[in-house]
Amino acid sequence: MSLEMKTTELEGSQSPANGFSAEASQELVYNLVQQNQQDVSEVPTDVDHRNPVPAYSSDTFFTTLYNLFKNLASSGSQTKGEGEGSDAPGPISYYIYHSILVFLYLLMSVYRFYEYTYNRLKLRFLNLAYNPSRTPSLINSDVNKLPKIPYRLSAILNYKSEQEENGGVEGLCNDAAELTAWCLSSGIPNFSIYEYHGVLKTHVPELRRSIHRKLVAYFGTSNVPTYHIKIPHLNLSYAGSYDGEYGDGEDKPDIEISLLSVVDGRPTIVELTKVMSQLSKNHELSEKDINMKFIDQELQQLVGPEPDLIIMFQPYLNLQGYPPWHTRLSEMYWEPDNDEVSYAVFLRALQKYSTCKVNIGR
Amino acid sequence: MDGNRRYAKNAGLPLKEGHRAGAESLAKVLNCCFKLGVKDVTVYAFSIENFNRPQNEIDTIFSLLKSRLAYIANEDTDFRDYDVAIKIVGNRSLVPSDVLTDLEKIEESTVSHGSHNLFIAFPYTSRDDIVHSMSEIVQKVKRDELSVDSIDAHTVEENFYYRGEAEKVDILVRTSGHTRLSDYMLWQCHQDSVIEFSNTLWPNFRFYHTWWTIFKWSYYKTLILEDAETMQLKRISDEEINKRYKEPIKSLSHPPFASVTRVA
Repeated sequence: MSLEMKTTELEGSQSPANGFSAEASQELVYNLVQQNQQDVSEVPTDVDHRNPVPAYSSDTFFTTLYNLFKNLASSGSQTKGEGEGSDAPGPISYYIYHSILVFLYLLMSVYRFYEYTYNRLKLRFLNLAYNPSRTPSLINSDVNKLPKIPYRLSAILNYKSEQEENGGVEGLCNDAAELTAWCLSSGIPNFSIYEYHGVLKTHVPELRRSIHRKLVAYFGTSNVPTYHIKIPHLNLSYAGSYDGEYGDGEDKPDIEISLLSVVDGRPTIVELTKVMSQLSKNHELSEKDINMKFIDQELQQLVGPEPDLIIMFQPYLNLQGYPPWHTRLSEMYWEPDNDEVSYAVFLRALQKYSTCKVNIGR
Repeated sequence: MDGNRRYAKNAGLPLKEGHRAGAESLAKVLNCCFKLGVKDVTVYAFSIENFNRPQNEIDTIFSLLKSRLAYIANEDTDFRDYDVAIKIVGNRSLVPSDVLTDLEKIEESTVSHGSHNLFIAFPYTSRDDIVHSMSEIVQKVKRDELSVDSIDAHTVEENFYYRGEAEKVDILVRTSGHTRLSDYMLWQCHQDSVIEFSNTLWPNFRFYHTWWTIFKWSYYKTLILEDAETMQLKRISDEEINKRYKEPIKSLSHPPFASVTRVA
């Protein structure tokens, strides 16, 4: 394996923070959290719990109907639907309300059936209409029609089981690589990939190979763009192409890819709290320093800056534990009933972003 | 509650009327929610960033909020039946003192109620909430009320402005077509919550929209429950798994080894 790991050395965490100078404590906290972070283990990825998104949307209409009936018919005392009044009803009125609810659910499932078909047809059409055909100039001309594009883009990808089409680690890497190529073609210099279990973090060699291959397919062998892959949680950074052609990449790469997972969310915030508590107990950090700006800087160092646009390639909106601090003003985009990474969704997300007006509070 | 000003603009009304329509809409939606059996409702009444607006608009919002809450708390017979406790969540140090005393009076008058909670996020941003919780924890550790090792996500939650009542939200509705969270409930809604971005402006948000949102949620919830039932995921909760597999693997008992090589 010919990958050169470039770990930025942790400066000695015992560096004395004399006089609470803001930068000193900033560094100190960052280093400590970073160290502790290495110990936070990834979420176990046992196969059964792998997919945090229940796949009901891919059910056929009849399975849905069957499930609904089974649930509603069997549950005499189970979850009460909202059709009921708050005053405890007698058995007869309960059955009346319950049958109304069943009827409504029935209508809903019919409606969903048509909606699902419509959405799928629309997506099929869009995928035919927008095809990048691996040509950066096509993507570029699509994007150049827009008045503005995001500076930082983030994508939420889902690990699919290996049996599925475009599933497994291979499929995930392929999706990530495809997205990288699209970002590069449209000129977006910062790209982060969120995957709940952090599968990509443990498969960096595969990811690099796959990105390299994709970039060659898009841009040709002679001018492959440079890229950096960063794992903020482990403070690792991998430079250049997968065969190590680009040395340590002193100059700025064309695109920066950072890999995020659920540990960058709540656990990082909790870890930061712990470290700050410990430091302030040891009188190394004054309480006055703990303010919004300080914590924002810490979390930017630990996780990265907040993205402008989050694209979800899943059937419905679910943030899946995306770092909460970073979703503040991010625009979100997803295509209902879509379950694959496709250029049409990517482009439509950018189009939506270009029409959005952000006015902070005003 | 987003879209009051656009509503006023579209209808050719003065800005104040837009906010008034929004406040009326609030009462209707709350009524509908409580009727359907929703226990806790939080409304994002005023963001900390909203202090950037012109002063007379801020004053209008404050006075509307005061009168509306007083109405919900004491005068309206419908709401009296719901037994609503009004709680203010947010950075109180930013509120002008006269408004704050009035609001606290209202809060006090409903303190004995308990079957429904109405949280008023005022003035609130989620980041401010997280920072507040962190500094609160740091101070507690300093005073030796809390050990560093016992800090977890739950501790952070307990120290929010919600005082331990900040559980995960099931449904978050953002009206008027924006698809971002704008610093609201970031911590509470990023795991398996249904986030509904509605294109309706808040003053037009009525019974029908509320019902539809909740109905859709309940439909999918039923499906998910059924899914879990068939997949047997529901049977074992996370805590149970932790309890069951807490022991390290080496401490498990086994029959004696019989092997041709020596067992150390």
